[in-house]
Amino acid sequence: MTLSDVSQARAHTEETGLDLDHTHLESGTSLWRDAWYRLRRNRLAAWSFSLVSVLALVALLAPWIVPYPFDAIDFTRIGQAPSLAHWFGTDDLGRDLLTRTVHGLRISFAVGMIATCVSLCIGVLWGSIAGFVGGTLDALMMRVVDVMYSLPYMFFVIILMTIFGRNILILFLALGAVQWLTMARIVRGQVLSLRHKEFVEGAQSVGCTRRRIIVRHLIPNTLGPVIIYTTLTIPRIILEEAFLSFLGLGVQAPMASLGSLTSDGAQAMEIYPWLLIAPSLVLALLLLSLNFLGDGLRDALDPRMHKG
Amino acid sequence: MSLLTVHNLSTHFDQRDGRVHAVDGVSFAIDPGETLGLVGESGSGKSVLNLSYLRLIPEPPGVISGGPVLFHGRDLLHLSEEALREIRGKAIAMIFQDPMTSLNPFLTVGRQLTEVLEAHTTLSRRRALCEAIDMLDRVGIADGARRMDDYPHQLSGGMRQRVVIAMALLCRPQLLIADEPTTALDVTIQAQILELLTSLQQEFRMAMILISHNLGIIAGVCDRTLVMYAGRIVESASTAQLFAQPTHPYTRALLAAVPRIDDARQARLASIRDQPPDLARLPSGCRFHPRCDLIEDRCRESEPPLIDVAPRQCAACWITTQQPTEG
Amino acid sequence: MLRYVVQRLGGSLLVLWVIVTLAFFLMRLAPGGPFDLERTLPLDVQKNIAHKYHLDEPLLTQYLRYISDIAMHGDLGPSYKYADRSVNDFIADGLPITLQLGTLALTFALVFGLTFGIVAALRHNTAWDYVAMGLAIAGVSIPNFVVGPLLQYLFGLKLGWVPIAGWDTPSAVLLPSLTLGVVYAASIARLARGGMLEVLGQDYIRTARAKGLRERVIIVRHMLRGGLLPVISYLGPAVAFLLSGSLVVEKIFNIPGLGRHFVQSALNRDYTVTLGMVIFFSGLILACNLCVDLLYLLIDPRVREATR
Repeated sequence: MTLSDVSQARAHTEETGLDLDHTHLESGTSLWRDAWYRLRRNRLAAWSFSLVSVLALVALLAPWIVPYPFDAIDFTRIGQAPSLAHWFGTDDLGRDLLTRTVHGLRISFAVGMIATCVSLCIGVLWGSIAGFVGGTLDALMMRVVDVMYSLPYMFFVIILMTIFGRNILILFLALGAVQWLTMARIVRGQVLSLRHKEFVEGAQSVGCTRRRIIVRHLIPNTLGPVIIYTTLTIPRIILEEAFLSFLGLGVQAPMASLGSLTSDGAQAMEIYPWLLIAPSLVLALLLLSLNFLGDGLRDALDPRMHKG
Repeated sequence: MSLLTVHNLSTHFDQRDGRVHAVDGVSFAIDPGETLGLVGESGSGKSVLNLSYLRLIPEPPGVISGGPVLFHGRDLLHLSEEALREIRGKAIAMIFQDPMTSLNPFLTVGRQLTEVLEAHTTLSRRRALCEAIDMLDRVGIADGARRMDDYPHQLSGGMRQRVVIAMALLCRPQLLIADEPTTALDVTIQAQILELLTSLQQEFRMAMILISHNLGIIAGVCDRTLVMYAGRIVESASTAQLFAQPTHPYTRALLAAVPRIDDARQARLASIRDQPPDLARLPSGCRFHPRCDLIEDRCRESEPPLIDVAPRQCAACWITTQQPTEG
Repeated sequence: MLRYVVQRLGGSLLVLWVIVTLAFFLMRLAPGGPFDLERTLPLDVQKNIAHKYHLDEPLLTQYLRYISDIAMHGDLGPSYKYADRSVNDFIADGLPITLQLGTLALTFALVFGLTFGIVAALRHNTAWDYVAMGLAIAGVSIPNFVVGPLLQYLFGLKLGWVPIAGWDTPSAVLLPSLTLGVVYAASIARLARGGMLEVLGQDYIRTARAKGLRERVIIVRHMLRGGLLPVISYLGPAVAFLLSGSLVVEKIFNIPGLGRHFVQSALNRDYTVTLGMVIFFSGLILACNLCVDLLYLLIDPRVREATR
């Protein structure tokens, strides 16, 4: 055993001792199977996965399972504490909080999906073009990313919301449009490094076509980091939507978002504390489990990043 | 009396899929002033062995067992951390393989040299600085005073290794462990560094354990040589004897794999077939049997002990150690 | 080295110019003028107002005036909403308070984050590590607008230890700083742990041990510098996050800082104030990033070399 072996033994104590570098590059299937196995073994990530699935299911099926319309005002039931009829209680207009929380959850998932897709599209396109074409265009494109990195993007979303009105669609697009920078960097980095990897040169030398190299070799190998980063983007965007809604700059009444519900609850907590506790806990739980899931996925897909 | 005596030392790493036996029941001794070579493929446990008795293996995951390891009559494995710290770097010093990574990139050369003296002596800062410059001079860095403020990345590879050597020798250790000291260097510089090491060894009357996978280096420098395979010592002999009469099939294979310019008949280089064993799943019996040409049944069944085959030479093989008595 | 500093300074100014330009045209792009109120004003009044704010000049002239006002006098223009106040007034008003809040939060974050991170790394894979990292993940995931109201509810309302709002007494300062600092404490803890673990596996740490140095010396002299580099590079962006966090915290605790003014201006659609403050924030963030880069230069000799 050489010195570097010792440090590797140290770094990979918890790993299986497989030559993971190798697995990573060689075949797609074993990588995914490996990752899935590791993910399931990570108990925290597994629990998070279940929780996220349940919450997503609830959000998806909301119209059929919640007992009240989300904006049904009922002055006979103002400010009721949690009960069997209203599990989370009712607010100062007599609206059922459970219904409104689930509605907020729908918004959170929707913004998470749509805005992440927007960011994914822009980021992957930008990064792969820069990485593939290279040269001056690459330098220029990455310079733009650098400059945008130093912009306080949250403030720009606020400006957009101020100027174009608090439109939910604009909100979705704006959140996605400011989150693609890291994705672009990751994709470009992957493309660049993979272009010069032995297996690409190998594929070239046995006469694979360019298209085949891209489809069969580059895309599967870029996928790992992209997936990892995507799962980490979703909670970030959900958080940002809630942040804006909390400030009153996001989703507008009578629609409810977890952020605006938390904000309402914070104002009413002296009289109706449950209005604060239920939505903020749901939001915290959602973000926590999405983050654990993302972390778990990262560990599963890229064990080398594990020890960081 | 021996300077350092290692008895039955074992080190394993507990990993999820099993126990990796990096070092398994190794015993050896080294006399004052002696040069001991330690050869083997990478992964054979050469480095871990020496890190183990200085307790430089991270524990966990590493677990060190066996012993005692006696240095001046004290068992290193049971010394307090503080007592051991006083031995490390002072009585026993180490040189590592890669001088780029074994020097701290954030600290100046001077700082990294003087801190050794700070830890082990009561010298004033100024005296320590003088000592360090003096030692740089001895390892062949003439403008030491100017180099003190340099950072490691400003030096060449050979220069860095000289700094590492100076660092190890500052406290005049009785034992120097040089772990592949030239592997990361250019060939021309390798020879210089090796020469420097041996001359300093004589000057300071140190004992030295030279770890290498390069038999050429061992042959030129060492009095006695241990051959390690998969965590065990499989042969031990004076270097001359080892090269003249290798006994263990693994030693023979290693020697056959050394390219020789003087032997024109050797059309192609011999190599040892297959890979070294996975230390977590060792083969039964003799660890070398899956790669050996001479195997018999008992090679698969039980592990051979080290058997004396000549004065000061022993090997661990069922077959070859028997031949002299049979024939 | 000087050249590097000048280069970076020039880059920052360029980015600032991009921001100002972007902000200006976004402002003019806004559908409807800033004075489109519920009731229509008489034509001559409209004309007067337009003249007062130079809105009757060609766009380019307006742009040049805006730029030169900022560059020459640091004047970000008047508020459209409050006739007697300028953007600079708002900034002068809120900045001291926000600075205090930010400094307190950052101090809190550094003290707790570094302690937790370093201890977790040194006690890697022990209960210490798990607890610290569990807390850190929770701290990173749970948004401050959830933490804030919950703290407010618990310590302000239920226990009555501290005031629930305001910025006038020393005890009122506690909860807001804590709320703002938690996320950064958590991030810093994670970064510090990661960096320390990375360094811990380095060969030069083994060398330091083999040299017989005391453990304390090894940690302080050999590990901290390299191990805390990630934390230092995080501090630049952290300032941006702190600013956006202060929007929320100042709203929750009703603190009259920059964030309050900013959110209020966005809700009022008081464009010049919103944009002016974004420009100011951007300048602040760029300046902090610059400082961090220079700090990096001081710590890492290799980077210093590269800039020569």
